[in-house]
Amino acid sequence: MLELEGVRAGYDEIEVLHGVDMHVDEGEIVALIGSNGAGKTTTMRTICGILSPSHGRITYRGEEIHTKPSHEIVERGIVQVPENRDLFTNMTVMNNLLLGAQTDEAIANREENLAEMLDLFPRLEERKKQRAGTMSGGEQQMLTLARALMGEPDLLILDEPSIGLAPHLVQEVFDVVEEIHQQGVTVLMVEQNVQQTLQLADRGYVMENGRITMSASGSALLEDDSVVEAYLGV
Amino acid sequence: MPTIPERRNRMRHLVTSVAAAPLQGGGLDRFIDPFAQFLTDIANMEPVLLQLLAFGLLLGGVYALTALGLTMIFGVMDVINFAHGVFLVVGMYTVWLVSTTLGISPFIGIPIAAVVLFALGIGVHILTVEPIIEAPQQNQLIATLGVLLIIQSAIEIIFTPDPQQVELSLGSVQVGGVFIPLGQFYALLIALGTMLGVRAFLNRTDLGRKIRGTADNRDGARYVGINVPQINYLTFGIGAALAGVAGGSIALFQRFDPFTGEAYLINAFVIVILGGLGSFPGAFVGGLIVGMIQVFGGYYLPGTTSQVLIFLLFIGTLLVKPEGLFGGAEA
Repeated sequence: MLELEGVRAGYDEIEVLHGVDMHVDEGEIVALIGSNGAGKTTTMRTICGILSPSHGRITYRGEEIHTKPSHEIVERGIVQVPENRDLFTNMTVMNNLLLGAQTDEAIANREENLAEMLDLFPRLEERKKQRAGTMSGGEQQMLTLARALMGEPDLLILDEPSIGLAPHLVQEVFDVVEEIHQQGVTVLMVEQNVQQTLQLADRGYVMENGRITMSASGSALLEDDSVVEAYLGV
Repeated sequence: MPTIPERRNRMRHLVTSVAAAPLQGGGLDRFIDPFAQFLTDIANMEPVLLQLLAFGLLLGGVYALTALGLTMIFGVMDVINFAHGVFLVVGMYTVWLVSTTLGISPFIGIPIAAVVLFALGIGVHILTVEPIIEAPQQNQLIATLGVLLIIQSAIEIIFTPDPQQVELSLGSVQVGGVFIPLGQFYALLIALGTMLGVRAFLNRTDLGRKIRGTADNRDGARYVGINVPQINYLTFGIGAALAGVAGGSIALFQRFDPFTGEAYLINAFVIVILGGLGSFPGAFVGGLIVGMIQVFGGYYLPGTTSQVLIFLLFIGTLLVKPEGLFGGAEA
């Protein structure tokens, strides 16, 4: 479904990704783990066209997307929950949700999806007239997730969806991701909660210094000594 | 040897004469007296105050409209558009041209000016701003300054630097002893109508929502799939069209030449800073404040001192509340 081949990217003169190869198949949950600064977020930003790679290629359903602007990538069905959320903080929760629907299809089903989101996240229903920036971190995270789902993604990219959340909210995020996946959405996620993520994921990649250093099934990675030592703190 | 009280007296005399030095020649008096006069007039409830208030409102409303396009372009694109003043002038000349050569009413000329400026704005954006949109801000500032000079010179070459005037004798009415020139009154109505219209467009339509979203968070806009480059040129076009309406409205009551835009541009900048860059209500309130200062200052203060007050307000805002009155509020 999604394939990265030898992707190099970075900011200005500083290269962060030194040739990333990975792929996501239809219907999978794929996890990307690695320490801070390994290049996970840069990878996610590059897939969505926020950054453009200097070398390599990214294909989605056989079509090259790394030369396309971000809105055309969303049009093809890839939607991201970015690490720093990037909510429209001065706008209401309702407007944030409405802005999540940009493709023709998503706009056509907007009312329906909106009702579904407010049902899935009852807190957002309560706060729909409130400005997004005035909500708690957990509520903002739910809104970011709901906004992304309003875009009807085929491939949902989650960059640290549970960062900074209280434990019960972390569980809620994982529950929602599982539910979305069961509805047929393919998921690529970066997460700090390595244990929980690898239990959920079909496959996982380990990233170090801008390269993929290991690739295996989620359960295999959970049993790998070097992964356990480096990321599970055992 | 002088006695101690004597010395104290001499010292006191010295201190008072030094302190009074700037007052000699009436320097400070000339600045204080008008304010004293203003307060006296308020205490006496002089009818002139009502007249000045009316003039301030008439001017301030139009000023708000001149600042609106500028603040919108900044809010969405972080571009400070120096060409905004000359866009106003193009609006003035458009209204003048269609009314003098085609015999079309200046009131019809104003929407025509909006269309002309919308197209011009998109053209200018694609040619000058778009290619350097990701570059540091001073680049776009210099590019739009270049646009200002080119358009201004072109107008000067085509229409001569002589002042022009839209032939329109609307006269004036008196309401409760307050004299209201109708040209300015219609300009105010057009300004208010346009501002309400833009506000409804931004708040109630999908495109307006996308523009606000892009202004709020550019990366967020890209993540949800908004076509940000398209929003950019539409915003630049709408901002320019607003300048066209503002310029056309000003032409209803004022003579203009190719350089008229400069004064308006400077005031529009002050309004935008005062109200908060990118803020809609800020542009409105800022416009009224600057209009009031200019009208009241023009009446009470000598010469162009009111413009000094406006700049003091500008610098004061930057020092005390650089985000402006409405900075950070809903765009």
